[in-house]
Amino acid sequence: MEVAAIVQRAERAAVADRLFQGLVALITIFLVALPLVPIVYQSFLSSPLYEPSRALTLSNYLRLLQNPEFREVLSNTLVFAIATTALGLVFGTTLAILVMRTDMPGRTYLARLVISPLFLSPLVIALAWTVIFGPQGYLTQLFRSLAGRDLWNLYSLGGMAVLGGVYYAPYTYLYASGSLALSDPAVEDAARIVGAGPLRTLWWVTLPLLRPALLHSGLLTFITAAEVLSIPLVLGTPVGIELFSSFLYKLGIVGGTTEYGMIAAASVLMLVFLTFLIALQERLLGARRRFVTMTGRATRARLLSLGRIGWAAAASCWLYVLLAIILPLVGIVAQSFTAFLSPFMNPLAVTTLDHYRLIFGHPSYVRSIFNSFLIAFAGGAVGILFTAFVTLVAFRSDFSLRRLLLYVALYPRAIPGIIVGIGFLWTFLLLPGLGTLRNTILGLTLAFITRYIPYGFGAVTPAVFRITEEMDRAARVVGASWITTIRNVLLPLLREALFGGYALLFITFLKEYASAVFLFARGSEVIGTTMIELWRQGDSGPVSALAVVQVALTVLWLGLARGLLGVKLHG
Amino acid sequence: MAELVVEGLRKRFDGVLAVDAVSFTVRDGEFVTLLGPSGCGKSTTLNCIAGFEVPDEGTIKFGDRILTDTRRKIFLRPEARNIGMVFQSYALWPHMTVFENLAFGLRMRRVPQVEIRRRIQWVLSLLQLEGFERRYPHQLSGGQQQRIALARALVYEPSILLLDEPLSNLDAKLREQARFWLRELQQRLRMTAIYVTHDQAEALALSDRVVVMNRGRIMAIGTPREIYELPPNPFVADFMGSCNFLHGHIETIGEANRITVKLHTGKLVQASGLNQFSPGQPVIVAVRPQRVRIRTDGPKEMNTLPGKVESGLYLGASFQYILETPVGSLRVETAEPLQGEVTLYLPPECCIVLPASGSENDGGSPADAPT
Repeated sequence: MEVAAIVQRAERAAVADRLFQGLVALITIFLVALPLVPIVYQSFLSSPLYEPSRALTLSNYLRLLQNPEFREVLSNTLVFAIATTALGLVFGTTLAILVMRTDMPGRTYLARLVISPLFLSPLVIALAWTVIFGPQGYLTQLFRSLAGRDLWNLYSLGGMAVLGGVYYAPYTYLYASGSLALSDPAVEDAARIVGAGPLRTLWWVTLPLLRPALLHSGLLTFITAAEVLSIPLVLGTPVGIELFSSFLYKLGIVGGTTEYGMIAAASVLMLVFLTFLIALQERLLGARRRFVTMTGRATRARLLSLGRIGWAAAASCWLYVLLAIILPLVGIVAQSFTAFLSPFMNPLAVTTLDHYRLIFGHPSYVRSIFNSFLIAFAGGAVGILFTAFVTLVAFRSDFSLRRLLLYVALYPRAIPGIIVGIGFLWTFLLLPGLGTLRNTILGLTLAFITRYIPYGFGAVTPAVFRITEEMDRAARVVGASWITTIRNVLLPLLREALFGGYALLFITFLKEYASAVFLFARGSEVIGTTMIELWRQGDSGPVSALAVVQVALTVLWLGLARGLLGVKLHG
Repeated sequence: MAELVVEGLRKRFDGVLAVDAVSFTVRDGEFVTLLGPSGCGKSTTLNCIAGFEVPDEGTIKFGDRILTDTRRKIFLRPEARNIGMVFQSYALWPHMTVFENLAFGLRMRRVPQVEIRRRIQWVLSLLQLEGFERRYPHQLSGGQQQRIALARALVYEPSILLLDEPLSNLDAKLREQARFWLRELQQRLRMTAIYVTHDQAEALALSDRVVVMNRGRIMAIGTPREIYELPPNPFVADFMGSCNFLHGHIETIGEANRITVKLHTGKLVQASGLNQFSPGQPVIVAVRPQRVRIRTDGPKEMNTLPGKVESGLYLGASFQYILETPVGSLRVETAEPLQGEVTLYLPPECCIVLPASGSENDGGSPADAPT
């Protein structure tokens, strides 16, 4: 065979390879820089960044640090994040050990329910909790009439932290149960052999071995809790408790353009703090550790027999799931179908479809459902494919900037959703010609993809590592270029992971709201932004109806993904 | 066809020299094995030839084609080298049938469909795998997968074939069979091939020549017989099969490579060696346990020793003993069981004189060489 022709073809293909890899890197850097640059710039400007009279200044930072309100916001955020992390760790670890290491009855069903908040928007969960536990909530009223006084107050830092703990417990649960599934049960057997009882073994062997997983999920919970918007927005704003994201939201929505400098300065401080935490997380565990696959040896651990305690444990777990997840969801469904939900009224007497009529009768509400679906459906597909390219350039090419690309692509973990939205908004305002992007869902899609590249990354990377590099090498050596190898060997082998990642991004995009609250405009409403609008108007019925629509779409999609694509989601 | 020349190859990983000044030539149609313990640099060398690693220094040429030249900044990508390669894991693409696996390389070369069919027919009949075209890799046994991997590497008639421990995933019985047919196939096709393994028996059985490597450097190059019978240094002697090492220095140098060595204990032994030695030079005498003979009685020759059985192992095909002798303990392998006191004879042609460590062919002292 003609060797010269082979060389010539390979050289031509090499140029295409480089171009493609360069393009992927360039787009990634562009996407991540897009929201960050204007924020940093604005934080040093005296007036909004599109105004000609702007001048460089440090006053934004000085004003912010002297603002007593901001100091309170910081301490609130810190208290909330710490308490949420502690509760999430306790809930998640307890459940993981009970499910993975004991014979507690019904543990497989429990496992599925415990992680279900992952598939729900925190906005939906927060609204659902107010239906049951809020000041006018169903159970609150019921117990108030029985006890003669309020037994709890959901609209408080404590209430927010309990909700946070429930909502983020799946993180701990997944990392801890993954670690338990992988750890060699012989280690526990050895402790039993030398004479330790089951509880001592648990305390002295099982738990210490979980430390890396707990450290990782704890930091993850802390970071996400520090930036969450919906929980403080729904539970804190009515009583004037602000956390970081709700503070930014208030500044932006209420203060408007006059507060741009403050918003930017606060965002920069938050970014610095979160970047530090993310770097800490990397250092503690090593960048690769994160992607360690959960499918290890199938050795089954000896399950601890709980005996009669097992039923007690199961009962407490079911009570937890019932109160924290099932009841609120039932409540929000009930509220969406009733004119007025109260323990003192037969709900069947006040059933109505008015809320749904309102939602489906109003073009902008319908549009928000359609937009959310479209972004999830198309944007999710584009997002996962792009993430796959990023992953492959980062781990399976000799592209010279691949390490940098890895860091850039994973950096959005440190950018709170609300800041992504602000950043994109300002970019669109700043760059001429991009302004119209705001009114289309293209702008939102870009923001969502940027924010969730790390999610897609987490879904694809373990699968990439499972494919031996000899697979690519075998293709290269028989004459395939890098792109041909990606197309013909790696992408087909990654099929399942890509479907899984797609299902995940779909759900994530469908429920995303935080990065949209500043960015959306007329024409580009999504479910989350419409829900917040309706909630601010106090329309709890239509809000519930919209929440139910979102949950229904999610459930439908999960069923479809499992049936058609064979996807099994474990979060 | 042409010869492959590797010159002055050097590669560092995190400051550690994985390959250090490696040079060798593979002639047209020759089967050369890179042999050495894990971490010796053999796989890195192979990956440099394949184009998966960029060496820090060195040139790799195939005939007049330069594959890699660090000084002139020439580096051909793997797909431009026209190489065939068999991987340790076989790396058959699981989503393609056998036919598609084999056709992939041909399609990359824009071979017409009719010719693709013809070539796949040819290679499958060569490896006695006719009728397997439509199977998927997971439907094949380990041995069949291994042969398909070889077929995939051969089907487009590459300039050179690289094999990276291709037999290491087969079980012992199958591995022995595979050795036979691989050797037979190579004899028939006269492929230029480089084979990487850590199994010395495999290297001896398959190769025209063996390159023994350790810690990134070449320890010996030669035919299997040369390497085994007359290793140039203690490392090679020990790596090619266990060895007894006796320390001493050169007494006299006689005709036909016959050398008399005075051991540390004062005993004189007749030995042979290829290296250039001078009287008084410290040396090591290497004797393989299988080559030591047992004499019930006989003349008190120079190379006889009294020995006493210390311990023994039954190995099935033979017995292995540790014998206490005036020159130290010796390992001896015999077909017959031994007991008590015996007389040992070390044939001079089996006593190989090697330079003691510290000389130019340093391969580490025998003490830290793997046994």
